[in-house]
Amino acid sequence: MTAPLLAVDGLVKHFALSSENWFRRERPTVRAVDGVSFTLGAGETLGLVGESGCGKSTIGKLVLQLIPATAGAVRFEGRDLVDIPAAELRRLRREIQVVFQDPQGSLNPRMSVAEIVLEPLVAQGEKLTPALREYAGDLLERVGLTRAHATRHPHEFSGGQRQRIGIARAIAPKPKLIICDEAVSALDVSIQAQVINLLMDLQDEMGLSYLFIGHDLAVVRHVADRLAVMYLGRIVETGPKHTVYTAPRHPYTQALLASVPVSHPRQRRARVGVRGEIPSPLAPPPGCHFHPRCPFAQDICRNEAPPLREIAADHRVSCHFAETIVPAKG
Amino acid sequence: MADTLVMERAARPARLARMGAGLRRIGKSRAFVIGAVLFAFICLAATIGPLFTSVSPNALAIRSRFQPPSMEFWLGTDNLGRSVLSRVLWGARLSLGIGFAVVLINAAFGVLLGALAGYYRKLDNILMRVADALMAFPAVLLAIGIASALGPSAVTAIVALSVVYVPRTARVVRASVLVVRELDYVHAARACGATDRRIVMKHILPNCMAPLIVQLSFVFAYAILSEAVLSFLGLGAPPTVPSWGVLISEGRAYMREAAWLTIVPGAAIAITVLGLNLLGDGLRDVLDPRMKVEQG
Amino acid sequence: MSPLLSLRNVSVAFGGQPVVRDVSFDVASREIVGLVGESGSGKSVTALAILGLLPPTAEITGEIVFEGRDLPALGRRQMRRLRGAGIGMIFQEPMSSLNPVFTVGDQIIEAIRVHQRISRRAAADRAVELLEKVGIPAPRRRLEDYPHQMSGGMRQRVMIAIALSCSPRLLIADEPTTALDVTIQAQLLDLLAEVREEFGTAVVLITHNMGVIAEIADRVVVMYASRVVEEAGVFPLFDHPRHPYTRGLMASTPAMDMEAPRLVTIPGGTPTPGNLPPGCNFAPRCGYAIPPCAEGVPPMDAFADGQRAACIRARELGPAAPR
Repeated sequence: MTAPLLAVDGLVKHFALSSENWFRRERPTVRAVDGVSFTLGAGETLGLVGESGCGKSTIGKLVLQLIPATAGAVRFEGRDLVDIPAAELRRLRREIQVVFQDPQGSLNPRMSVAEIVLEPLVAQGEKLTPALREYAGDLLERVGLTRAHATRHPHEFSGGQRQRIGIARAIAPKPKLIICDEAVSALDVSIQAQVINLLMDLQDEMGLSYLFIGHDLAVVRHVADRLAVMYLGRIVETGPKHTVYTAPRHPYTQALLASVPVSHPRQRRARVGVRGEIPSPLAPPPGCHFHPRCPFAQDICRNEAPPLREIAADHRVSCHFAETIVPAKG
Repeated sequence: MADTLVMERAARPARLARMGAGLRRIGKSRAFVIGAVLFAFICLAATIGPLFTSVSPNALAIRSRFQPPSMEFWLGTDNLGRSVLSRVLWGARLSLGIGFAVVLINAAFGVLLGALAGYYRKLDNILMRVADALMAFPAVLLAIGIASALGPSAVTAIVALSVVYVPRTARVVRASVLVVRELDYVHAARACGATDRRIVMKHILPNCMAPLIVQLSFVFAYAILSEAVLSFLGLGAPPTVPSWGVLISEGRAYMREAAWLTIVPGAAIAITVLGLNLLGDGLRDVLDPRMKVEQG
Repeated sequence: MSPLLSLRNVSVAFGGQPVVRDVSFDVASREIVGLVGESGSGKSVTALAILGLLPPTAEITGEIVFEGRDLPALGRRQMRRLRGAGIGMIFQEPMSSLNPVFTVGDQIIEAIRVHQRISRRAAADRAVELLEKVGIPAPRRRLEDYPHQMSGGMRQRVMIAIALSCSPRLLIADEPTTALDVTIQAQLLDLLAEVREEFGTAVVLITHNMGVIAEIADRVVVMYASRVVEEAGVFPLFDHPRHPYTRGLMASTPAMDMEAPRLVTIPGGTPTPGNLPPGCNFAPRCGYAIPPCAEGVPPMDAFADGQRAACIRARELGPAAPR
């Protein structure tokens, strides 16, 4: 078996809060990412889902090496991005690009669209030649805009068009992996569908891999091949999309899926949702983080954090009772 | 190829149109228009005014001492019979010159230090503690202290005022760098492998310009005011060079008999500072709509 | 029986620029009506018009009748008394609706005492009762909390409690769950349904999310580019949407029970209020458009079950196949 394109191993990220107080020795730390491992194969899409504060966006930033990891490894094609020389990392950055959520904040308002789209190349030292400008036009056409858009500035575009510009920038250096951090969450439904289709077309054409971070489970279901569900900094369940959606084994996954609004009023049902709210990541509950909200919680859940175990081929669940819990209907 | 050329050419009218829209927006701010007119008037007077006054600012005419404003001497004469109009116009050159020099130094060092502090968090603590220490002194007091240590001259005034205002400008720049550096397009540039220099120069600083320009317009006003204070106390320009502060200082002794000696340069300072403050307020309204109070 | 709230040909313009045109619909007592549309459709402006919360520069025409009273004709004081007592409201971001320097308890008690002449102590008891009703644990202790000490979901519950404090007959909820996580959204939708059951409150639920509509709405009003394009009971609407825009909107929403390789999309983008196309606003993006579509604004065509659609071809296209 060949090495996966991306292998994240035991990734940990702690944020220390309030560096202002010099006199307090112990600073509260947020365990934003608390020992996360997953792999992503070439041409594959991994959907990373969870609610706010679960650490999914932090993982995106860690993979992009925008923030340093506290511990763990991020291996891209076998090389650990966490400790390779800066020059080599810089070269490797061509291979990993990103599309952000906010179409407003993700484009530099002072740059023309051509400059924005070519930034990944120019930042790596390429000269802004006419040929390169020509390439910018190609990219814009590829994402459904026109060549004439190249000289305009971001404020002249709608949200959906800006997101297309962001995608053109991401594919400019012909990367292998794109991190989509809530890439379609801010868009209107009819525009969202267009952008999702565009992302999937580009994947087919360019053989891209996506790490698709999102909170809309219906959208993620549509784009992902495999799924990882996060809760308070840990992955609680991961597996092929179909398995996780139709036979979820972790009580949190079940609750999450049950909370997704129905797509037809005929499917309305008494909800098997979840009680309470997500605890503060500053003080996550001991043992299994989910136990205070879990209908199946036992003593062991309060004391011992369950490991992420493989309960079927490629289906891993972090629950002491994964085998005995009845898969809820998806 | 031909296509790129077309693109290039198309870019120019688009940019002009954008500038036009910006100007129209600025034109709507009454504060900006009034401020700009006042300030332009003073600048114009300073640049071409001295060419039209026949009398040299230092030409003594003992016989026409303490002439009140008249047809011959529009703004009167001083204790040595020198034309006040002429002296105020020449003084404008010096006062505005010092103000402008302070603004330039502020722009250069304020941006440099602000960008370093905002971008490199490790430097931030050191730089900002130094800035805090400097800012703990009242501005004028600090300027007086530095000027008296260095000895009176125009250069002294510029150095003293720069030391006083650069930390303030750096703070403003640092604040906007801190905001902009967390925007997604900066993250995107980092993820592309852009160097720190490129990120700061291309992505961060161009988007921090609005508050900086507003700040500089206020620094200009404060610098002119503080220079007058220094000169008044004899710590700025030497008495032979008639900066506005020097004029007021000289006229002070004769305030009862010849009030115009102090009123005229005083008014010049007031108009300039008022103009610059209105200009700054107007710019802030236009460049930073968030700070504007909702109308209607 | 006359409806609780009735909008007739309501238009709103700013500086001569219409943002809502010719909107008519009714809300019956105890009914949950979903007002759905994308950004720029005019749904939120419609809500603000009902609440009388538009700035004075807005030009409102048409009738908004609530319990027999024409709202735009009411004075500002009468309108203020009606808001809260007759019509409650909740918005997307509860943080900006709550005052950060007062405790949650102060704000609920204040809201109660504005409309009811009761003692502070009695109002506090009522506040605890309300917080309990909206599912806030340990409500007596929570009265002392400041808004920033609560989560988004809790704050939205507090907003609902404040809205309910004077037993309004109508609740206007503008994207109440959009900023919330999906598990919290589910809890709040359940709460809104309970509120309707227990208090008999009618709800106008403004949202862009078809799933939220499918969960709790009884009837749906679909808006597109400042106009109502379709109105129907929630079952007829989801069974057979008539207007091509509604069809497109439903088809482009990814669903949990659907595994199609590609989503059906509506081409193009939503027009801005400044440059609407002539005739039917949707025609340029519509796969069924024919030349007459650009000639005049299509009238509302009535179908069985009270379904109405503003499309000249709706009848010949027939109902869309159920999903």
